Amino acid sequence: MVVVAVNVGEFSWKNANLNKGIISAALHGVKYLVLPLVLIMFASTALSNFDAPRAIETMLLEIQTLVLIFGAVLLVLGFFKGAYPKGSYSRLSFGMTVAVLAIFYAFSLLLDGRLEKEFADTLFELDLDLLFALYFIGAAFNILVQFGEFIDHRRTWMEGTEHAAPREKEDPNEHRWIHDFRIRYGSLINGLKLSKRTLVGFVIIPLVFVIILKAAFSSLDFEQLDQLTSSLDQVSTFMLVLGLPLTALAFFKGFYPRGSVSRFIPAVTMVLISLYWIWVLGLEGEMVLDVMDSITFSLDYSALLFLIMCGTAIWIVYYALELWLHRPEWKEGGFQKDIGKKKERRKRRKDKIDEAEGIETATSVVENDL
Amino acid sequence: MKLPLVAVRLGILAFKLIVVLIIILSILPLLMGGIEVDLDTENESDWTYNGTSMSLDSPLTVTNNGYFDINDLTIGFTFLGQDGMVLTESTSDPMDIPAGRETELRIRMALDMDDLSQEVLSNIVFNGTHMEFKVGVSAKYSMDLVRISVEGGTDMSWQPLLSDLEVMNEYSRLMFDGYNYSISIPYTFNAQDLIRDEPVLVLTHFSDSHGYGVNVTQVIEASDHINEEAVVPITQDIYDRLMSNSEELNVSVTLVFMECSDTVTETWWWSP
Repeated sequence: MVVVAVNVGEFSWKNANLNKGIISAALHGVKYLVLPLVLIMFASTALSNFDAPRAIETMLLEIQTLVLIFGAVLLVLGFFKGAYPKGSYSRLSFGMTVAVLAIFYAFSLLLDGRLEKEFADTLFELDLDLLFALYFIGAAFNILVQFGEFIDHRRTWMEGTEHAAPREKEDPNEHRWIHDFRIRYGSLINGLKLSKRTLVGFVIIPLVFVIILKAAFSSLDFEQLDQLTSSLDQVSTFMLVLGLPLTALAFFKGFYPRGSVSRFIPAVTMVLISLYWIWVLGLEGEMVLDVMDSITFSLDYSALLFLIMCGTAIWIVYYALELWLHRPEWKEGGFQKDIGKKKERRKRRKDKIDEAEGIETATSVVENDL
Repeated sequence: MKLPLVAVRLGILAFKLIVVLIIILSILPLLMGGIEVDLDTENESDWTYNGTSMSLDSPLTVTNNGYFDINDLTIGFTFLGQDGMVLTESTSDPMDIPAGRETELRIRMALDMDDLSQEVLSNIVFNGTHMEFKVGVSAKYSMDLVRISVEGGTDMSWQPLLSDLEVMNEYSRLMFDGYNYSISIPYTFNAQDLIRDEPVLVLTHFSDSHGYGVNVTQVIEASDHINEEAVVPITQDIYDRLMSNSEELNVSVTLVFMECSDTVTETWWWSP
């Protein structure tokens, strides 16, 4: 059961941790400010060497201004997000703001389609709106991740206060393997984070790669590349057909704790689908290219692909071992959620209890004095 | 994290690194030009004929500066006729090219006459033909994990080995050497360098309008341009008649080579 208690006091600075805030601000600064500025600097240097049109330089300046504004705001918001503890409304609010603002930030970099137009004039036609749409799907997950983190850590945050609901006790001897699928064992944040990582790795990045390749090929206007382009279309379809079930399975794999059958089954299924994904992405180990009508170049790398697949298949051994080694521990721990480090959780709980006891002692001293 | 799990993770990482290393070490030499193929065009060999087959022998130098051996390199050739029928095909024995070495190979293409039908052979010898020539190279690389094949084809115009057979009847003349009477029939034809000095059988048949007929057989060594004459023996009666009368004469010259033949027949009005 999740305890939800709205408390404006959660925004109080006494709940915050300055060091964690600084670390978080630094990470946000690198991600949203430093890295984009470095990329802009590289782009400016490269363009100056190639005598690029004036319009591109102007656009880069505009982008630089946007990066400075959004980057600075996100850095400050990142500080507050990191400073407040997980499970608090204050962290959720700042986390959500960061996630939403990051989407607006990315959208503003498109410069109302001017970037795409200039890109088409200078290099090749690249659908930046489509690339943004793909980014948006990944970024939307970040909003869900904030919710997941809040729901998962709320109980720990509330522990030691009068709002905390008592944990449900469970008799380990009554627990059967099918009970591993109970929702209460799951961690939303772990599920959503892994789901997002899988979506990005198996769908978004390959699709971005395919979109850029197709755009580059279409600008070359070689008939011989038509075959390769149609292969890329097929690959894109497979990316979606296999990537989306993988993303769904990744949620359950991350959701359920280590040592549970409910994690083992989606994990092994994911490995099996990944093997097929590699086989499809690897064009089934064979590539045939017709060059100049009269020359056919064919490459059979199926043995190499099998080797890569064998390497990936070892993950099945890993998950079997994980189930075997973590199950006794999970059982011993009373079938708990897999969130945060144990030490961290224990320390936070102790701090809260000490804090509550301290208030109680102080109150009794005052009462005695009176 | 538990030690066995760390060990498996490290194992997977090591496995993947090895695969990545194999891929990088395979691609790098190809990008840096580490594998070179040099067909010796300066000492390019031409087709040779040995009585039963025509063959082309040419040296090929492969420099393998890559990190892996090139194994089972085979070179195959296929000749297809105008109708797309396979005339002949041959594949070289698999060869290995060790890494860091230069290896000389010999490419040998052979067109075995015994394998060809009479019609195709006749076209090759006398008429010329179009042939489709296909070459295929295949080899294994990266510890036999990758197989590369390249196939190419081109149309070849085949010039006839023997051509332009012509009977020079306007230069035929009567001869008497004091003992024998004869009539000389000059003829010409061209032969390709490929069959230089090879024996060509020439059969000449002479007949007059009175029913006299005779065959003459010659064996001539082929050269670029051949100007020869068939000396046909005749009787004194025919000699005397032709010395004083006009008459219709027939000559047919047949070239026989590789069990194929081509005949040119001429009929003309002899005038003394």
